[in-house]
Amino acid sequence: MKLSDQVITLETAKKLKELGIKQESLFYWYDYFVNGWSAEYREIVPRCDDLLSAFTASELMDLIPARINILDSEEPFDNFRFNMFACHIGTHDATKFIKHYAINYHCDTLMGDEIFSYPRQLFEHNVLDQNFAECCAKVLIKLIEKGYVKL
Amino acid sequence: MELRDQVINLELAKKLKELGVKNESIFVWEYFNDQCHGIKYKPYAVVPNPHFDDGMKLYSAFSIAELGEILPNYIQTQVSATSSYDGKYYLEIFKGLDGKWGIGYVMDGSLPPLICNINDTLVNIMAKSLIWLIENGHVKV
Repeated sequence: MKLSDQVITLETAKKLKELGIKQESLFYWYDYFVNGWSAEYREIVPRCDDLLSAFTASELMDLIPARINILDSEEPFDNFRFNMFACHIGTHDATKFIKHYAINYHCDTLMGDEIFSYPRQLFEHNVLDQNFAECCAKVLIKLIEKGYVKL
Repeated sequence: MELRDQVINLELAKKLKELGVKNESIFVWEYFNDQCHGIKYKPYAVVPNPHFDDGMKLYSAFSIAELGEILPNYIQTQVSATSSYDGKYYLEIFKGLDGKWGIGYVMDGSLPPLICNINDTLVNIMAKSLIWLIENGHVKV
């Protein structure tokens, strides 16, 4: 597995920096100018104030909250818990199935007659990506933008 | 977050190698003896190096992303022709309110999970799950 498949994309890294996430990570996006941007191990990136973190899945999973409380209350139906699964999604011509990761937050209150049914979700759609780290980053961005995560 | 918390521990790395999991990772455990071992980013690993040729061993220090690729989305069980516990168990990763990670293969809310690992770093519990799946014949390597 290539390093670029283990860290977030340059575009996402810029977005997370813009949102105010602390730039502390194992890898950084580094601009080689002539050769363009490349994700590099922290040991070889020159120390400067303008580092751009290429976060890994571990780092982002650490930042992602276990629970979202939509109304700052402990009332039933207001709390949602982290949930992640994996699935294979076919290409348009169905010649290939590609592994994707999906994250959502499930409501932790269930109606009596719904015990065995699929729980309600906080996001309208699961957040999906082929890259584990990128999937986590998309969720974190969504949560910050919706105000569920304060920095 | 320290590198040590982002890759599997040495014990699990040794076990996965012993089970035959392909050594493809960007970090490796370099092991000389119990006093002398550490994690290296692969491009800068010290071996092969003539000074360490004798006895230096490499074990893949898998990351979350790498183990995520190896772990199956679901596993199909078949205990007996009539068992109500047979079926597809899907991979789920969850986070407890205490901030601890959990990983399990679950069918639905009415059945206990086939396997559930908690109480360690996420990457380590992913490795423990993989070891269990291999040892119980659910994953072939």
